[in-house]
Amino acid sequence: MEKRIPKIGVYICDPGGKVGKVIDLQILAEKCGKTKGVEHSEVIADPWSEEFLSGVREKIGAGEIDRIIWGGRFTVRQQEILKEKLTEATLNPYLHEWCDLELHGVGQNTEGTNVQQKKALSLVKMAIARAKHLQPLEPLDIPATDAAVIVGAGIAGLHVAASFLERGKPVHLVEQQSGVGGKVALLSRFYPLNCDPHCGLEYVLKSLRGSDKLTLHTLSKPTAIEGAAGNFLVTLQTEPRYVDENRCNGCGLCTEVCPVDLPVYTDNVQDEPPFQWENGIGSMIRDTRKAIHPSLPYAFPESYVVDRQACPEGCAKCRDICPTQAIELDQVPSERNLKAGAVVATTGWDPYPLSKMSAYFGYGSYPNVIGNLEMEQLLSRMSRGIDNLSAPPVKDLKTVGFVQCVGSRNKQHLSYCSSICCSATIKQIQQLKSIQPEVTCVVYYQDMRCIGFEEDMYQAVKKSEDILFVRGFPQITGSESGSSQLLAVAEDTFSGKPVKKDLDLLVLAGGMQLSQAGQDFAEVSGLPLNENNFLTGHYQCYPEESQRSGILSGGCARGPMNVSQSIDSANRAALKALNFLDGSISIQPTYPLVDKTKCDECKRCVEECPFACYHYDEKGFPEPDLGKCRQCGNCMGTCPVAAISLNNFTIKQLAAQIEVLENSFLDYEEPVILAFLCENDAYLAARAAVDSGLNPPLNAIYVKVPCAGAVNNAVVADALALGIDGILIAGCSDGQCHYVNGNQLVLKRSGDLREKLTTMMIEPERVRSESVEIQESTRFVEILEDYIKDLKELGPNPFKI
Amino acid sequence: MIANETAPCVQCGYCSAYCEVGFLAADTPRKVLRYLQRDDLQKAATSSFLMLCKQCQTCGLICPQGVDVAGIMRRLVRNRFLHY
Repeated sequence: MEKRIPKIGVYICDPGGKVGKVIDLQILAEKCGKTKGVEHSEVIADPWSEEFLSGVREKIGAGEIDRIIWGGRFTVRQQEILKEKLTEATLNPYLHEWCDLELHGVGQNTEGTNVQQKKALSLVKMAIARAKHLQPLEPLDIPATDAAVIVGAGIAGLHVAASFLERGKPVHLVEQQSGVGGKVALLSRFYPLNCDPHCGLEYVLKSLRGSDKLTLHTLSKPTAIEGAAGNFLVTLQTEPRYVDENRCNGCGLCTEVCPVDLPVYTDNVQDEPPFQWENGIGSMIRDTRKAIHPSLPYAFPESYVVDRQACPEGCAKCRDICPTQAIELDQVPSERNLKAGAVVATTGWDPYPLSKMSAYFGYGSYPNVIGNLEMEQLLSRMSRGIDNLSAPPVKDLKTVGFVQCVGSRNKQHLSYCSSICCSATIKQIQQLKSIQPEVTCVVYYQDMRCIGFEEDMYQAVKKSEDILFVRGFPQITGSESGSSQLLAVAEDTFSGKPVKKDLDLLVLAGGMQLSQAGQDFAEVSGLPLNENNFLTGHYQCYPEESQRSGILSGGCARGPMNVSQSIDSANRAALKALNFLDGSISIQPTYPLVDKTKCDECKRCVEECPFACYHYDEKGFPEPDLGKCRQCGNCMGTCPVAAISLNNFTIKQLAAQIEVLENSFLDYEEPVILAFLCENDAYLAARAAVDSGLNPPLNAIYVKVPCAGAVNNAVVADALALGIDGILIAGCSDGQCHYVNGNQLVLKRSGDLREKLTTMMIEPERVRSESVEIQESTRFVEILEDYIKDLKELGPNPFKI
Repeated sequence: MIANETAPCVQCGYCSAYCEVGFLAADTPRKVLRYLQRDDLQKAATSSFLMLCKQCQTCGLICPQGVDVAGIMRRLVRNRFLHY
């Protein structure tokens, strides 16, 4: 690093003349000009005039100044424009310093103009002190891969894959089953247009079929996800298909000779093994399939697959008859590593196990109590005229009951509403009535939540006299007459009277929870689940994000949603993932650096980083993975020996600013507060306080920090030792911190800080932390006034000169 | 006090359906809770349902909102004998 003697240019801008009315800007500029290191200092009328800018460029070109301090009010966009215009003159954009006088109350009113004048000088001197420690910085370009890994080939995953392929990105689509389609492939119809899901699946598969950029890994799961955005390494474990995908053409001759018949289970994936009815297997559907069969749940890839554990000892009939010699009965599991720039989790949902609700509705005790997924399978077969079902035979259905909210909205099960079941039930009723127009349907509900245009579906079924809605939940018992019917007794909560019905079939609208595959993904990737046990980021604004940059989620992995919402959310995840698929990742240069000469390997930064981005180098020193780092500064804040600094926000720069802060802009008894304000919330509240004319007291000097957690105790102690009366650290409130928990880390360290201050004979009350939300400008002013009052009672800092 | 406890009740009717004697009186247990939600302590405490409740606890166990229905009934009975 070259030793530079800084040559600072100070330009004080006050276009509206607001500040100039209250303080004397010329005197300010003159005093700055006399400060060591400042080569040029002037008040300017218009920073945007080409005349002015070319004058500055000349000075830079002639080597008269090599960094600039702008005193005045500039929006972020204006700051960027000025930096751009002067980058042309080879002034690095990180060699600008911004000093906002108006933010600090200078020019806000005509009281205490003397104080304002002195404060303005103090502020610009602080900016000068910091400017001396500015370094030119360049973004870092890390080479990356442009391939994406998508985990889960349901409707969401397929749409993400299609979006990536449209952009020419290579895609690895990972699916744990033998075929794509997920839960949508198990549906009979989806609402509101009552389309056949196979149509929707076929359409999205058009972009995938025959694409040379798509690699479909079926029967596979990720077992490790290492690395960071742009450079992930995903390890896949693949179970054998026992059929060569390149040779099998789906002719089906093998199924004609296979001696095994396996029951088709359509029931809940996470439930206990099916119950045993009198004929063996618990399910209304008596469909069977062979041990060798097309991919499930949907025949893509077109190759067949063998349920090897069901094969009789020594049997190889399928292999012997296969005309393309595609069957390989001795395949073994395999592992492979995939490089990816981004990973998208579209692992979908599983039904909440209905066996947990058996006390309520007799699920498991009566064969004609089924779940809504099973009803889909039933309807699918009925609509195609397939009739191999057990008692009661579905062609004899007279009355079918539907119970809503089973397992959902229940404090003992799923506390949330599963979103889709009300409309899904109506969809099922519509299809049932189209197949068997004479059937009566009874819906037991609490609220019918058919949102938006789904209301039309609700209105359509309300017209029918055969479709009854009872607001109340039923108790289910066996029929009094001993038939296979069920007796349902519910309270009609509108009239308070009982409603009794004999039902041939009861469909439970069960809830949705994160799939087992989603839970496995969370474990493998180290990502936390939210309070409802789903994989999602900030629900309103950034639901697709996760704590690992470059890993995103889409579809029902985020929460219960219908098909069109899943597709929407999948496309959002795809859009955000594209940022990491450019073939290189550009890292902002404001990343943390560890001073290994100071570091004593206490590991606190490793433990506290909200994004777990630190690893250890060959010597055991912590090093951030720049692809994971969000540059929040919490590592800098926590280091007990202040060995970590963010580029352009260094401990040295802060220390320099604090050293020149002059208490004397106020009278001796008037407390001076140094306030560290987090840039996402508290800083904006402070700005709003001034802009809305609240006239905050002049006692506070603000320092903008990326996160409250970036404030190091050493800086705080230093400031107090130099005589500042009070320190305020203001961050976001709990649950709102943009860096997960920076605000809480501040509180966690306050114990250490109290100890430190007590040994320095400084009252710990001189440090205060508060949460301030973005619009709480009035509260911000109250916090300041409160603190000023308390500090006055405490008296001036004994170290104050 | 009882009024606060009935706040989570969404009037779904599970308690009435699963109550062994739910439909044998003029009021169902859900209706009694509704009287409390409407601050009509008299109607709740003098309801004929209270005489039938045998504290089997099924209602509280089944309630999706976790309301202690049987507990409320028990205290209503005491309230009735004290005041009505």
